Amino acid sequence: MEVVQWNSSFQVRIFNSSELLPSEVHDKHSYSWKVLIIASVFHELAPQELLIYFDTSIRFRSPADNFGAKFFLAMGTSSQQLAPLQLGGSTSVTVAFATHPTMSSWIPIDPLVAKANMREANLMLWRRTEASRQVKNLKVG
Amino acid sequence: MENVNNEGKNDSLFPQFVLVTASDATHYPYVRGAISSVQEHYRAGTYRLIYHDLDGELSRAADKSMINELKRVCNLEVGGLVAEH
Repeated sequence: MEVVQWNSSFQVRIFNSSELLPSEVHDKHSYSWKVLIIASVFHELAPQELLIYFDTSIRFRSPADNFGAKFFLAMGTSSQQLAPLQLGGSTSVTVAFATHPTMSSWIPIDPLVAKANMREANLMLWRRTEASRQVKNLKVG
Repeated sequence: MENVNNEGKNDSLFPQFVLVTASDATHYPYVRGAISSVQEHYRAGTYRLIYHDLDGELSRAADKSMINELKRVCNLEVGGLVAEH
């Protein structure tokens, strides 16, 4: 994966679907890239670090030590009482946006339903566990 | 990277964050908003942020306005640390 380190805090990585994913799931709306992105970051995660994956429709509205503090602290290296989890965000996308574009050729979608909003944008909090070890073992180009 | 919370206190219990997200060019406006909200609520030095540019739609576009704007949003020109590829 091509990496551009802009400064000590920000990095851009170019995810090439054609190199990293089977052709059947190249389409970005299959979201097959998401698990590989999480896996690739896990390869380099330091023991004291927590991984927060957030969809771009997520907005953080309070400081990290207020927002979800009980989650973060429970997942910290000292306690490790909490496994990775996924939280729903108060954001939404349409059903059509979240559905693979070829799906309607198999199962027709009512246009009114397709325009309906879905909630639950992804906000995933990860730390090292047995489950994450298995994700980490995924091969990423 | 220091292990400090948002009030600047050393806190060995408080973890450090690796914030990860991704988008294509279509969803660039959402990226900007999301990163701005990170910058607003996470103290510099307590996190690192990794943005995944799906299929290089921002980085390899003929029009570099989106990727250049993202650099500005992230205050990335400071100190000559920008690494072009």
